[in-house]
Amino acid sequence: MRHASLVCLTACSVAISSCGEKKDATEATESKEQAVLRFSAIPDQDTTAQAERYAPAAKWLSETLGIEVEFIASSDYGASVDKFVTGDIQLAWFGGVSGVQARNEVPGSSAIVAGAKDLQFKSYFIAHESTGLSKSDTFPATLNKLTFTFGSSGSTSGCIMPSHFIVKNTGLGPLEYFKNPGFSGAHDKTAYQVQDGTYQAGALSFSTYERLVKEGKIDANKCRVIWETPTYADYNFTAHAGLDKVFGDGFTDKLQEALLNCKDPAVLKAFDRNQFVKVDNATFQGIADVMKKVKLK
Amino acid sequence: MTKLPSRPLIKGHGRKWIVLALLVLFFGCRYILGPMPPSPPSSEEGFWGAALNPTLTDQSQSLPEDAMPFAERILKEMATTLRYAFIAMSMAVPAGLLLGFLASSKWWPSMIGDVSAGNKAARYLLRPIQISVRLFTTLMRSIHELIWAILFLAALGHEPITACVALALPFAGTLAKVFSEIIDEQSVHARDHLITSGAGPLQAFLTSLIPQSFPDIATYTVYRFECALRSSAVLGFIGIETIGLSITRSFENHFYNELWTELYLLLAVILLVDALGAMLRKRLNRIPKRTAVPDLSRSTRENIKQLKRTAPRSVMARVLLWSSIVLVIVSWFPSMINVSTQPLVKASSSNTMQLSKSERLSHFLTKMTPAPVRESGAWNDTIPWANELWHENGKTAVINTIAMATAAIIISAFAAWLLLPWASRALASAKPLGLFGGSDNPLRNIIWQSVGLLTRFLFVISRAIPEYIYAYLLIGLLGVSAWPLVLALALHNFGILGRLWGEVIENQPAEAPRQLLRSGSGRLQCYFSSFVPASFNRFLMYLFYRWETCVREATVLGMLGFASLGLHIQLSRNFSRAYDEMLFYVLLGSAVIFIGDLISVYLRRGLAKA
Amino acid sequence: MSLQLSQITHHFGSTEAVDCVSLDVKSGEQVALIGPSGCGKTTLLRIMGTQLLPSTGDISLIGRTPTTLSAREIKQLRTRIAMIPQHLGLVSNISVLRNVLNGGLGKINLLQTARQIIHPTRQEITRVYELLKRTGISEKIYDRTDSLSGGQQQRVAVARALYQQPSILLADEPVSSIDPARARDTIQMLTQLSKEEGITLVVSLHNLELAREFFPRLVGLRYGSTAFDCSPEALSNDDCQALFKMDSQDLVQHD
Repeated sequence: MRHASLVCLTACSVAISSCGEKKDATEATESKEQAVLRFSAIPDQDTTAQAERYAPAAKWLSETLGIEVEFIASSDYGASVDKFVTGDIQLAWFGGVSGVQARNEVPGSSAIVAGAKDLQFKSYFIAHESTGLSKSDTFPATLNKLTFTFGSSGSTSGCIMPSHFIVKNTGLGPLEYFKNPGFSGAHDKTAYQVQDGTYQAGALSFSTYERLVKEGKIDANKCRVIWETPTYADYNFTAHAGLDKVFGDGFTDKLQEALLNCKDPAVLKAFDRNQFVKVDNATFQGIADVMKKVKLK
Repeated sequence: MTKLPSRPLIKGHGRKWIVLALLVLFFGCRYILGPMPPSPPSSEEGFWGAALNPTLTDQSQSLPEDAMPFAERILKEMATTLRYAFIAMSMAVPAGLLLGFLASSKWWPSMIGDVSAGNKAARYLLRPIQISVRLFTTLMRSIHELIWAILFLAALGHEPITACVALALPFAGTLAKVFSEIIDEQSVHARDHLITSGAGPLQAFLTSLIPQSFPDIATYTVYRFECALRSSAVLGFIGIETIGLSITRSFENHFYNELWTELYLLLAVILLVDALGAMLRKRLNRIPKRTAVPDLSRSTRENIKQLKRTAPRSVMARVLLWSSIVLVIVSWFPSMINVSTQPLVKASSSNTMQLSKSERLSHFLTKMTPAPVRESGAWNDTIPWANELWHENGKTAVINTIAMATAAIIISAFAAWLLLPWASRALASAKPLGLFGGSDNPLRNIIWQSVGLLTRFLFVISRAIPEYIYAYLLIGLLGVSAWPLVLALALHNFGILGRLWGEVIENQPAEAPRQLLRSGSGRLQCYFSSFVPASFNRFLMYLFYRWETCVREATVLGMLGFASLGLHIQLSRNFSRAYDEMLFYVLLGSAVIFIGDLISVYLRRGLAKA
Repeated sequence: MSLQLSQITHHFGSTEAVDCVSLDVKSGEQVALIGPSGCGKTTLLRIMGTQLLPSTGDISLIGRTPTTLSAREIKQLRTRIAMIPQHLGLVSNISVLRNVLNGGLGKINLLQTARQIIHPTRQEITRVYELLKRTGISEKIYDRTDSLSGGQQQRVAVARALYQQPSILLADEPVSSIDPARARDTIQMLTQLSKEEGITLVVSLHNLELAREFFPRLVGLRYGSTAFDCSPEALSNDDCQALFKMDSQDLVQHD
């Protein structure tokens, strides 16, 4: 018994001393780490391969800006906004709604660039061919008879804007309008689920749909567009208010310039955009207004 | 186990009415939850086939060159799952012991032949402490660990230690409750005797009740560790790097072979821990025998030394204890064995944009304050706001949650009730209850033994997989509705009821059923006419106990999509980012569990008395 | 005067367990309480052991009156009175050593108890060993208590009582569930210890022969009151028969 307690004490003291060592090690790397820019993105598609997808962007930003840049994956939309608010990330590729939420909670943050198509973004309502519906210019009146899925419940083009238009056209929120709407979590999942027949209809970002059709992953006949929503502003890069403090004055402008001039194909492919354009917070006022009004029920 | 009376405790017609009531209740829930929609066509493709083809390599074609190979990745995640479980339990057990101690009244100054006013006053002071500790632990338990994790991650950021603390909190509450019950159930003969020989109440408690409770406390702690493993795996579903994360990835990408490998791995580890727990329980109940009697003709000191050396000891219990301690230390400080993993607490960098812990916490608390209060500052405004939320979503969410839990427990109860005789060691054998059952045919022996083994194995596997994983897979296969969730709960609890009820049957005195067999009845007749009526009370007790747990699980299963509390928690977090509304639903769920707990305790106490 | 009971009456609700019993026991005396089951022996012993306070009557133990004592003084008094209850009150799953050490808890404080639990000193262990030698089971010192037979567990309880170094030793039916040969050994051991150490011994028995053989003073109880109080020689056969006679009243269970 005596020996055992001695062993235990030795183990604990070794453990505590090694803990101290680790702190020294991290302090050493801290001074090197002083200028690391961390960014994240909403997990809107390819959710399981985010790190691989954005690795080229991290590399390019690092080379262009001359500082260490790291990509941090987020498990869902809310998590990415949380990380931005707590300062764990300083830059993010947000959707319309998530960007407004982040900028509201961190005053002084600004939307710096968006993709060219993001200023005229829209959602597609899609349906399986067995429903017999085809593309129309008016809101499909029989939609509530079908099983329906959104993307993530935090997605602008996958849930929030479609809900807004559902309310506008039917007076009912989606939880009342549909029997048991699903939330697939990502745009590509919505497309696959409608194509498979898991759900008869769904709403997703037009950009993802068109990319999947182009890559041959979605059959445009089997999984067809039945309605296009009016346009709105969506994705953007939002910079944390404290960027200039940490990386030096004018850093945010420098970042904006760099992104506007980006022609690296790997980076543009990662974000599925052809080029970036300049924006500011006012661009997304429409989204902010919708957010105040829209309800699920 | 306490000796059960051989007379049925709920008489005759009472039992039939109760079974009928359960059936009626089930159909009520079916009405509330709606029918099961037809399952979507192509979703099951390949899923079941892959069960026989688990792979050890990556199925994804698009991984970069330097990505960790599949086998290594899932082993690493399994190790992380174990690590978090060890860390969480190492925090929960001391807390549970302390809180369990405070929640028990067995260490209070006793009233044995004492006239001193001091003792009476002490008891009056200790009672409110006991009650508040009980309330506190029930509160800790009433919020599911997934929800604690979501709250902590949002409040404090993504660090391994927050996930472990989120696990530890409800587990400490459950441990405290069970420990205090174990202590209160012990016989107090020894303690009372020690007090009359002059010992103080705490001394008597330490030297009599604690050693008496030790075997039950130890076995329950091992069982809780097994539960911690399951919960740790499920944390992967909200982004923490345990095996649950791989399961979501494999399933979403339709890599079913990978998925089955991960499921088998998780199953293997949990079954191992389960087997260890069962072995420990058997060993602790067995009295260790002295292996050798030493030569006692020498001096007293020598004699004592020799006796100590040859003293009977339970080797297995000690090995388990010391290896657990080593594993806990290694989990906290993996650098001791040169394993580099994520540090538990992220080093705070000099990045001034990052909020400090206290800033994050205060920011989060502000967000959790109800919106009307934030604007006007008056807490009275909470009432209309809460009222609105209740009528809009809260009421149906609560009803749906309770309906899911009730339907699930009734299904598993009926299934377990029907399969129990095949799992019973007493009945499912060629010589039921030790009686001669016809000429000795080795084939019959083998068949009976296999039947028993298979059914018991079925129970074991069904309870090894966490409900959340069942639910996730079933929703993926069957589409979103209430019934995949109900089925998930039912599957998991089927195994648990099978085990709990099986123990009741095994502990029944065998004479009455043996009489039936001797007079010619078959095994099933014996089961239904003798075992079941005599055990009915205890069956119901365990039923209510598991119902309470089902309600708890049902509050989070809704996060997978069905309109119950879980869904609204998820929606208010993602859709509106209204943490105050999320808190409302969380507290609503907590209140439901609280009330369920009280109902269950009341019913069980009534049954124990009957 | 070691034990003085004067006009003790005790009720359990409406049942009267002890009815107006007076008893004076000198220091070092050996007394046997005999009577049929339910006659109040256990209640009387519990009163003597300060487990119960009598409903009416005066009691003085080692010169002190329990009712006038503070909590700490009662504790001290209790350390000097050792009781061996009928069900022994041993903790089954710990070693014999620890059970015997438990006897001395009244004399040490909480911190010392904790130390004793973690690591008993060599002195304490030797002392326990010697006591177990006297009761004949020294080789069982490190064995688990529930691995011992009933008779051996009894001896553990005796050793625990002796560890207290008491002035008064009370034993409630110590031999009712042991075979006759061992019963005789146990009673002989108790009376011998009492004589050697000068401990006042009060034992309740329902075996008259054993009581007659070993005890110089016999007190008979019937329905809670004293039937006789004399030496074995002075006891007549009629008295014995009257004590154990079955009445219609006996058919109602006293407890």
